[in-house]
Amino acid sequence: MMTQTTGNERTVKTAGAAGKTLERKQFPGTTPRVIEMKRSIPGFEQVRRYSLIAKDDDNPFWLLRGVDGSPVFVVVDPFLVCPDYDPVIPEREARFLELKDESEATLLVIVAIRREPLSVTVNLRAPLLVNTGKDLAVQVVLEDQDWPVRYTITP
Amino acid sequence: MLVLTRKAGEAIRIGESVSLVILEVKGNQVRVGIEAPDETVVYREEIFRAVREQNAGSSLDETAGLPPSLENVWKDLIVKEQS
Repeated sequence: MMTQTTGNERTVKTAGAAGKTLERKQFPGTTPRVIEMKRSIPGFEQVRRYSLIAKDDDNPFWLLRGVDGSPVFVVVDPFLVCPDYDPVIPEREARFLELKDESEATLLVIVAIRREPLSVTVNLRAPLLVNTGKDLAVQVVLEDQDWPVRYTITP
Repeated sequence: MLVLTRKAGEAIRIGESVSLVILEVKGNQVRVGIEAPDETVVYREEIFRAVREQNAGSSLDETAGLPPSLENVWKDLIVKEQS
């Protein structure tokens, strides 16, 4: 069995500047794609299968919706809304997601919308790591990195 | 709650595959090493709670759809990105 001592954990850069525009146009494409959460999104433990839906090619915001209708998240490529985003994905998470190489990995972040006053934030602390080859995903909590849970992108 | 007393270097086994090792005790801080399979999440409780609450607050009401005002936000963002 693969085990890891978190205190001494090696890390791997799964995304970064090089991943910025990774398959952005092709993924997910204009047809919904079913993504399986290998571990459920915290707060939505009963939902494992989601549809990832692009509105159109030019809209960087996609919908991530449970196949049974809920929850519904807006997600976005984090590198578009925070060019300095440079998270380090723990190796155990990359391994858990069966990622063999970086080109299979895409990061998405969940958008939170507050109304009155309108504010739009993204959760940079807990991105969704997606294995685009296998359509698997997991929300990775970046334990000891200081990326904010609510990073404001409201213009 | 089950309470166990351990010294530095001693461990606690949870289930078949999780082991907590007390690495160091210094003042009011304890360093703990955790061996767990990849599928087992290991997070500090408060960070996990913050993420879970943020997730719960981020799900759009299914019937409400997207607020119309968002359309403008999206357009603005696209313009910003392209400029």
